[in-house]
Amino acid sequence: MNAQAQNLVRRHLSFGWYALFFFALLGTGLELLHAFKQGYYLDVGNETRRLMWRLAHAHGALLGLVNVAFAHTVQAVREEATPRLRLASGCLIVAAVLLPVGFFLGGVFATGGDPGLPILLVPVAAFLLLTGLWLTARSAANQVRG
Amino acid sequence: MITLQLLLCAGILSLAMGAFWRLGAGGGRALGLVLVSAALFGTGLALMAPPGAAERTPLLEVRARATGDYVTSDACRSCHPAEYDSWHTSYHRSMTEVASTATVRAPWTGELELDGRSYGLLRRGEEYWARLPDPDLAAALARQGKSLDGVASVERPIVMTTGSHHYQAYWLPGARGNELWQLPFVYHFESQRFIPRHAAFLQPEADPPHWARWNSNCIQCHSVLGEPRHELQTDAFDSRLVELGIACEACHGPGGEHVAKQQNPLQRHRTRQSSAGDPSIENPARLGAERGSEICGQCHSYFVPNDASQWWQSGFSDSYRPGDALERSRRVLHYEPHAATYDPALSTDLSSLFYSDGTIRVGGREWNGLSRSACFERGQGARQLRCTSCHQLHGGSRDDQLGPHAEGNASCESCHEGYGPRHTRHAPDSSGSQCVNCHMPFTTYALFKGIRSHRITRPVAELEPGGPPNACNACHQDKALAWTSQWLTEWRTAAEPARARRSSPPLPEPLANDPRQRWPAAAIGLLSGDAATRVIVAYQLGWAPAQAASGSGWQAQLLIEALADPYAAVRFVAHRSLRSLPAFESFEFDFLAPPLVRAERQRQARETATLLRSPSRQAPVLPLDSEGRLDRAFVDALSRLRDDRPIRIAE
Repeated sequence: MNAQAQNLVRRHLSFGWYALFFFALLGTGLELLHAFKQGYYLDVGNETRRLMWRLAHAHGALLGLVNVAFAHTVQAVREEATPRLRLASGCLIVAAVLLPVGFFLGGVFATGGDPGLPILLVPVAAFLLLTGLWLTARSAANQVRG
Repeated sequence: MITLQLLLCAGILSLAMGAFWRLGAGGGRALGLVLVSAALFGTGLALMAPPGAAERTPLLEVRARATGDYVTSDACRSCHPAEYDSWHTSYHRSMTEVASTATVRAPWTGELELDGRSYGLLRRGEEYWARLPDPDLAAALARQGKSLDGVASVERPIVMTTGSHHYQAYWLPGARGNELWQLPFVYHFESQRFIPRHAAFLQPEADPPHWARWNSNCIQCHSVLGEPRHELQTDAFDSRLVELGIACEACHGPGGEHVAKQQNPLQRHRTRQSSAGDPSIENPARLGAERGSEICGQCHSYFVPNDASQWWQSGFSDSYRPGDALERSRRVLHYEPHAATYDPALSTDLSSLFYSDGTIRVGGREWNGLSRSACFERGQGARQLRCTSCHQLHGGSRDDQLGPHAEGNASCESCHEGYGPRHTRHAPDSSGSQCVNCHMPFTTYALFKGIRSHRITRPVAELEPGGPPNACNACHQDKALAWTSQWLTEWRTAAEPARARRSSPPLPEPLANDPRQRWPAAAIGLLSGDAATRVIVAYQLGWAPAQAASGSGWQAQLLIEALADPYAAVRFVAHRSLRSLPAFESFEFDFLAPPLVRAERQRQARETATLLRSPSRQAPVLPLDSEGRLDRAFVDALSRLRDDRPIRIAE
């Protein structure tokens, strides 16, 4: 594994654990909103906001784990930091930011049963996530065959 | 706001792509990803753009909003999800709703006709519209008793609905303020047709047309904290309300203080552990029988406001909160036997609303009956009757909100222990052993049906003009009043000799000699009662337990006579009961058809009934001629005695 690959591992381990910390913190905040019965989160009219923020929390935490898993995968496949792996790395990090941010801001600007416009960040993030996952899977498969 | 959101998205995307580049993903493929991402975002944006892009003007100007210390039901759900859910599925919640594809139940298409005028039902996308004579002008002319000839038709949107159980009424905006006029038709769910408003109520067909305004009456009970805010000079409304329909705060009072107080989780925990609850919100279950029941009675009673001019401004918002004494805000009407039937505060004669013994006969006004029942008047403490002795607003049945504790005789037996066959004089499992069938018979009327009287009484056989149909003959429809009187006297003499002489005297001499004593009480009620009695007896004749007790089939001859009743509601109910009888299950009859058409259908029904005359009965229940038809002299004699006082029950 070259230095570039080691950088990738460090970056994703660091990003993944920070993401986990941050989105666990968000989860705690949401629980507090329940505890203090905050109307802008719990009222029937704000059901969409509640859903969006819960999705932001869940996706953020899960993608944190995906980034940690990516770091371990890079280590496991012992591959050089190929352009394919570097592209996968970018996709996974950007997706891990855009996806929860899209849900969260969609909830902030929710009106009635519809999330706000920032929800459009979600399909973009989904595309990047799928691309990152596919490229990572390809790298792992090549290593197994090699 | 949209611009802000777009700028925010664009900024975030730029930062993300910049980060992408810096992370070393670079190269042509990264650029490709950026382009695909931008294309995805743009496509999403295009899909979300509203057609026409213009902000839609809300059609309904009487809108729900939290105000003062009222917070609306939205604020209740997070702490009381089960109660919220049981309320949300109730007909109380959907009593008044904004018109939409989710709430309008009628097939909205075609033309309707009323008094020679055409009414069009139009769809415009997801909106419902009606073409009708200009309601602002038509209402003014109707008040002056003038014809609508020459009144131009206009098209107005339907903005609100009333009712989701039996009927649905539709409201459209008027010209002054936020007044709402009723489309003069209601959609009747059971028959799946539009019915002119005046035919849906019990009222003389010759009554002049009435254009109803939601703001001037319905608002007080079909919304939370409705304030008419009527401007006398211009006859315009600027009505306000907290919530459409009958929502949490209609019964529990304003929730603002309660919600603020209970946001603290420790406070909530303490409240839930406390038997006293939270005094900042009303819980009807913790009130006494009278105050608790008056919460229901604020709508389920016949009343007039104490201060009419105040009501036209602020409704009852200044004078009543759940838990208050009702008398502070309104006068619940009662009628004492043989008192004057005129009340200056009412447009309807009291004899329309009450039987001559003072029992209310309008459905939906149960507090009038309950508050005049011995179980309420003489009950004490936990043994004092209250609405929730039988009804359960959260978790009760959807149709009548009866709780599981009200199944069978359980509610009555919680006080009247050990009342077995010696009291009922009927077989234990028979309908005659159900307390409600003798003490709460179907003698009030609303919505094309009989409703159980909530004035809990002992059955009395009497033939007093304007008196309620007695409970015994509601089941034993083939028996005469003399038969009922004889049995009641015999039973009561055996059980309580002194009391029987006092409370159930034998029929007075003139009535005892009345030839009508010999004929089934149902025939007397249906042919010679007033319109309210006739419609109730017509309903009882279709009641399955009564048919089981008095045979099924002979009733057809009577009900066929009622198909010619001058009141549309009587004809409708008689036809429905007729269809419950053998050979008439599929008998079609349009109760609103022209008289000649109805007469022809009535003739055909008579022929069917004659052919099907039951040979199994030893003696006919009703007097028949030699060909098996109902004796015309009998019908004519009773019809001549018909009580034709105009009756108006607008429920």
